Amino acid sequence: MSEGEYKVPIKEPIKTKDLDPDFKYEIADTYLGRHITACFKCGACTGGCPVGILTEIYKPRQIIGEALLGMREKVLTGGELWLCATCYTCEDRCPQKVNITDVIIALRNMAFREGHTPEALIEQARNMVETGWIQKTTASMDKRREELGLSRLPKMAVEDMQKIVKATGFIKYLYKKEDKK
Amino acid sequence: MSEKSVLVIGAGVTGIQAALDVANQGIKTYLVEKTPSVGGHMAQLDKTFPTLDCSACILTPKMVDVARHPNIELLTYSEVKEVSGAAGDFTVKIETKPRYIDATKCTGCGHCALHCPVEVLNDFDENIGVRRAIYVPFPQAVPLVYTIDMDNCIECELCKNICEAEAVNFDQESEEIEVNVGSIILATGYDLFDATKLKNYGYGSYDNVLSSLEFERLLSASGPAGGHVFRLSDGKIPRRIAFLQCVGSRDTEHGMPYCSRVCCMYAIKNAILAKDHIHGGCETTIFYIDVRAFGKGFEEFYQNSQIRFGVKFVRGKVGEIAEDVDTNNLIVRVEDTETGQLFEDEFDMVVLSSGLVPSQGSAEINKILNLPIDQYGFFEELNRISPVDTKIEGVYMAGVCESVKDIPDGVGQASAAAMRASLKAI
Ligand SMILES: Cc1cc2nc3c(=O)[nH]c(=O)nc-3n(C[C@H](O)[C@H](O)[C@H](O)COP(=O)(O)OP(=O)(O)OC[C@H]3O[C@@H](n4cnc5c(N)ncnc54)[C@H](O)[C@@H]3O)c2cc1C
Ligand code: SF4
Ligand code: SF4
Ligand code: SF4
Ligand code: SF4
Repeated sequence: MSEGEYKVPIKEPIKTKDLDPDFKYEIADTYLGRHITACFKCGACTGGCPVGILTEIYKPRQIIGEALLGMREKVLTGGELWLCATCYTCEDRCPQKVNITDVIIALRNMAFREGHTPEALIEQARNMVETGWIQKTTASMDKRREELGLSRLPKMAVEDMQKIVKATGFIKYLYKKEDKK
Repeated sequence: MSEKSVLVIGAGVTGIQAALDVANQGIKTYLVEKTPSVGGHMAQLDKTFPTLDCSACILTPKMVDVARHPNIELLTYSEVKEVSGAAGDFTVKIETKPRYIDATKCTGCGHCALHCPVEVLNDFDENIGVRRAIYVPFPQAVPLVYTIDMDNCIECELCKNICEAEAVNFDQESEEIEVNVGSIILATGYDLFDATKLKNYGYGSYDNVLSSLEFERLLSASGPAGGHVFRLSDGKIPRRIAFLQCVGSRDTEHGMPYCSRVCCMYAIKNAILAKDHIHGGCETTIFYIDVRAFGKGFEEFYQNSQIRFGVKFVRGKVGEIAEDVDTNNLIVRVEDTETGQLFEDEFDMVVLSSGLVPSQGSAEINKILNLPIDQYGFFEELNRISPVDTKIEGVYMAGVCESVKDIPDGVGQASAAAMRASLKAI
């Protein structure tokens, strides 16, 4: 990119009344998020992030920075959290040992508990429990495999999986009341 | 009780100043330097920030003074082997390694080096220049006495035959002397952080990623390129140079947690000098986390670098560098944290502003002295209001062996240590 392209994106103003000053301590209190306050916003994490290259909306420094500012709403409901590939490159780069990937997992846990997980991911979890695959297999997939001379997909331990989600109580997050099962 | 005398270990700018200040009080001073010449790191620099004084012009007179001073016994290519006794009465064994040259005969004419067939990398030039097996590390070396590097010499004896002063002596052996001193000053300086530890920057594998000291040698008129800046991959003139800050400093994960204090200023200095040295101009960009411009004249220097010289600043720590295998250009990936833009930019050369770490030499001397050191390896001060006293009475310190600092701070500390050591010696 040449110099002319260094552009300043216009952002919504951040209002102090919308900030939650305790949010960062809440994150730091979780085991995974314990190093978040060490961040000095250098951007090395973003500079190494493979997801950042693919989409402009994802920058680990921005998530950490917004969390530190107390932008609870934005961080937990904004959806960016779920784009992280958990590759740990940012953690390797970070000069301040922030454990960014772990922080992001901690934030995902918080978002999940508060019901902000994108429906597509819940769907994947449901598929997992019901079929053992995060994507439902279809008849055309089976046919294509056969054409290619591939073996049939093995049967997964679905019953065990279901026992686990029931025993742990995870099941209640997967199905809304109106769904039966 | 000893005759009035003081030992100074390490002859960088700090050790040189300490030795001169002690000697000027009429006190006998031994100045021990392990390399063949005095001068330390300052001798490698082209100019000094923020005034852009010529480094050699202000240092060389002091280097010459220590060699000529009637009260200073200069022991180069020498190391301290043993220290016993206590404050006021230390006995010190010093070993001088053989140069295979009779220092009293060598005139420094350099004919020998012209004929020596062996060429090796010159570590004074950070290994980007070459020297012969018989050499002085740089033309202004003090003492101006040649040294044969026996690890590389093939003993062809060409130098011996050519030397009119008959100074070459292959039978020379190391010499050990024992001296009695009242006090000791440590000025064993620093090493540059080894940037090969940061795999994402490719230092050591990409030809055009340089350390700051390598770049200083390129800029230096007495350096391997005579002050012309060119790329190590193909000899082309770089038109776009990036400087990366906090390499190995402020990095709890891969380097040292502390700020090295000099790299912001030396990067600004070198970004200005690059523009000055490169005919036809070049663009320089500094990628930083924070610009630390706390010293006298520093903030003005920082502002001027932008207003007068057009040095560009981008706030962001570079995530990684990739090399274009066809052009050997470097692609730097960084988030401009002021705009939140992640971008890639191509440069002809990248200079890493590596931090300062405690020297190997400090660790070596400490095997003998057993001084308390901090968690990094810098010598600890006695207490906060005795910054040049070590925890052993009669042993003082100055310069970067105590903590990271620039030249004026080191020299100021040297004068303080000289006074403390003199008081203890008399
Ligand atoms: C790229 C770069 C640019 C810089 N530019 C500037 C600048 O423009 N202005 C500025 O103010 N500062 C600058 N600095 C900082 C400056 O180099 C240091 O502040 C200064 O050189 C420190 O001097 P010193 O004498 O303490 O240490 P050194 O210069 O490291 O000297 C130590 C000496 O002790 C010797 N020694 C070590 N161990 C032993 C031992 N066991 N026995 C005997 N001898 C030993 C070494 O061989 C060496 O000669 C720069 C640094 C770098 C890396
Ligand atoms: S690399 Fe670490 S310190 Fe730098 S912005 Fe990212 S989380 Fe913060
Ligand atoms: S772990 Fe996530 S945030 Fe970190 S570099 Fe990988 S994708 Fe980016
Ligand atoms: S004897 Fe050694 S130093 Fe002398 S010219 Fe031959 S190789 Fe060089
Ligand atoms: S002086 Fe500047 S470049 Fe050096 S460690 Fe400090 S902030 Fe980083």
